[in-house]
Amino acid sequence: MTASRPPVVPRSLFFRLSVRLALVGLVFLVVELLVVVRMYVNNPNELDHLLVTAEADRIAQEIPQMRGAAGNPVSEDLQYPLASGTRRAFLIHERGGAVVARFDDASLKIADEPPLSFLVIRTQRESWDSRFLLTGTRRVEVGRHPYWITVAIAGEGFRPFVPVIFNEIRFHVILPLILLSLMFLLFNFSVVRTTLKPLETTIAAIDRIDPAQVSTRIRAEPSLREVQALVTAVNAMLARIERSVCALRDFAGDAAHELRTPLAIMMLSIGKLPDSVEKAKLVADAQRMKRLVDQMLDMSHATALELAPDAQADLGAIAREVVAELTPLAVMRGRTIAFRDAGAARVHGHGDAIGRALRNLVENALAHTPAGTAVEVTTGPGGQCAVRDHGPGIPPERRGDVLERFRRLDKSASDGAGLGLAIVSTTMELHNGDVRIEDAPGGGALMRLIFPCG
Amino acid sequence: MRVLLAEDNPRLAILIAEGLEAEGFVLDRFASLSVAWESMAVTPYDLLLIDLGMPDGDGVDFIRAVRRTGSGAPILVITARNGLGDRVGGLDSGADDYLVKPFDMAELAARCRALLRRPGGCLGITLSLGNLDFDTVAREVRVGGRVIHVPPRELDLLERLMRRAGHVVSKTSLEEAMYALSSEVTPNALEAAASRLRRRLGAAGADVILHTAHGVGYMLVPAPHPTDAGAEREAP
Repeated sequence: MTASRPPVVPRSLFFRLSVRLALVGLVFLVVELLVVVRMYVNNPNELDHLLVTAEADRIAQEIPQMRGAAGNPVSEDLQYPLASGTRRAFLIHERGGAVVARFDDASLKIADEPPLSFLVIRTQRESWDSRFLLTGTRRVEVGRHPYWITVAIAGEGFRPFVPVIFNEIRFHVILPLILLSLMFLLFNFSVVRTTLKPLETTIAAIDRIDPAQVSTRIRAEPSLREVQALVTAVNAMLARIERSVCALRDFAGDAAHELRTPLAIMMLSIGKLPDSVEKAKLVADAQRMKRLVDQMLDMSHATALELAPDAQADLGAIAREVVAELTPLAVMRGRTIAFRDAGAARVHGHGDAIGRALRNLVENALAHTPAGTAVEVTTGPGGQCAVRDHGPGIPPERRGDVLERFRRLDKSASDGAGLGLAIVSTTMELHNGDVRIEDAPGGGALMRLIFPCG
Repeated sequence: MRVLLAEDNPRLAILIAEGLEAEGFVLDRFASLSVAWESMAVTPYDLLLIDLGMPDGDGVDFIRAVRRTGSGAPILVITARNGLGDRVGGLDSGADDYLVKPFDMAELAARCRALLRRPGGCLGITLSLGNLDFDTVAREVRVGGRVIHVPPRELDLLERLMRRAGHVVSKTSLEEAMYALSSEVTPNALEAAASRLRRRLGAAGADVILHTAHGVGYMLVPAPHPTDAGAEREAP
C-alpha cells in the first residue's frame, strides 16, 4: 500500500439505492414526456382549447385596469399575443352586452356580437391547409362580475402551440414527478434504514465479541433470512476459531503434561550422578525445565479459563496459601516472604487461577529480590493484592513489555521462563482486572493486582 | 518397610525403586493396577505409591477400592496433573498426600518418611530433623542425643512443626495443636510460645531454624550448611 493512493471509501447502501432510484425517475420522466407530447400532437382540438383558455386567462388579469382607465388601454404586454407568430384579436363584454375593451389586430377583427349570457366556454377552429383561425369565448369572474372574453387567433402550423405544451408539461408532468421523487427518496430512506436495522444490530453484536472468549456466539435472532444467514456464518466461523484455539491450547497443556514423566526420569537420573560442577549445572537446567513446564500449564489453564458468573474468591485466603507454599523455597534461597492482610475483600473470580497468578508473581519477586530481603505480599484493602520486592525495579519504558510472553528483562538470568508475568496478565484480563507495575517507596518493584469492585 | 509402587513407565519405576531402596525401603514394582491389586491381597504393604495415569484404569478408582477393603496404609499419589481438581479428587478418594512430577529423590523420600511417621504409620515413634529428635510416645525431645526439657504446649507446637518439617504450618493449625477447643487463646500466645521454643532450641544447640512466615504461620527447617547459601544456588 502506498501512502499516495487515497483510501477507497465504500459507498453506503443508502447512496446506491438513491442513485438508482433517481435514474429510474429520470427514465420515467422521459417516457412520460414522450407520451404527453404524442398525446397532444394526436389531439389538436385539445391544444386549441388550451391556447384559447391561456390567452383568455392572460387578458382577464388586466380587466380591473381596463375598467378604471378611459379609452382602450391595453398594456404593453397584451399588445402581443401569447403564441409568437400568430395574430390575435379580443373583445370583452360585460353583463348586458356592453363592450368593456377590444383589441384588434390590423387584419383580424371580431364582430361585436354579445355572447349569450349562459355561455361559459366555447372554442371553434377553422383550417385552410396548415393555416388556422381559432375563435373562442370564455366566461370569467373578476371582482364578482362576470365577463365574456372572445378571442380570435390566426396562425400557421404547430409552432404557436409550443408554449401551451410547455406549460402543460411543466405543471402536469415535471412538478408532480419532482414531488413523487422526493416522496420516493424519503420512503427509500426509511425503508433502507428499517431494512438494514437487523444488520446493524448483528454487526454491533459481532463487535461486542471479546476475542479472548472464543466460546461466545451471537445470540441475536434476526427477522431477516439474509441476516440470519450472516449470523449463522459468523457463528460457524467462531466455532472453527474456537476449535483451533482449543486445539492449540490443549496441545500446549498436553505437551507440558507429557513432559513431566521424562523430566522426572531426567531429574532422578541426574540425582544419581556423583557430585560435580557438571551435575550442579544439570540440576539447575532440570529445575528450569520443570518451572517452564509448570508455567506452560499455568498459561494453558489461564487461557482456557471460563469465569462462572457467581464465582467468588477470597483474596486473603488465596494469598495466605500461596505464601505458605512458596516460603520453603524462599527460605532455601535465603529470602523470606511477609504476608499482611489489610482487609481484603471477596472478589468475583476463579480462586485457582488467581492463586496461580499470584504464585507466579511472588516467584518473580523472589527471583529479583536480593538475598536477605523479604518479598512483601499484601492483600486489600478491598479487591487488590500487592507484591513488593527489593530488587532493582522495572524501568517505566519496559513495564508494558514484561507482561508479554517469554519476555525477561535480564536475558542472561537462568531462572524463569519468562511466562510468569504473562500468566498474571492473562489471568487479570479474564477477571477484567488490572496489573499495575510501580516503583515501591524505598526501591524495588511493586506489582499490584486490581480487581473490579462489586 | 515394604512399599508398593504402581508406575507404568519402566525407567521411572526403576529409578524410584533404586532411590528408595538406597534409603532403606523395600519396593515391589507393578506396571499395571490389576497386578498391583492381586499382590496387595497377599502382601501387607506399609506404603502405597500410585501413579494416577495408569494404562489399565484410573488411579483414583484404585485408591477408592483400596480404602473400601479397610486398608489404612498411607497412600502417596504421584501425578503429572497439577490441577486442583486432581488434587482434591486424589485426596478425597483416600490418598494421604500427592507429589507432582517431576520431583527429586530427596523430596520423594521425605514425603514417604513423613507418611510412615503419621499416627498409624510404621515409623510412628520418633520424628527427626537435623540433630533434633522427638519421641512421640515418650513425649521426649533430644538434641544430639541429649534430652532437653520442653513444656507441654511447646511440645505440641514442636510436634506439629516436625511432622510438617520444611512446610509452613498455619497459625490456625498450630493453635489447634496447642489448645483444646474450649480453652481460650490469647492473640499473642502462639507468638510467645514460638519465641520461647526458638530460644530453647537455640540454647540447646539444635541445628534447626524455626522460621516465621509473617502473617501465615511457622516453618521448621534444618539449618542451612554454609555451602547451601541461596546466592550460590542461583549463580549461573
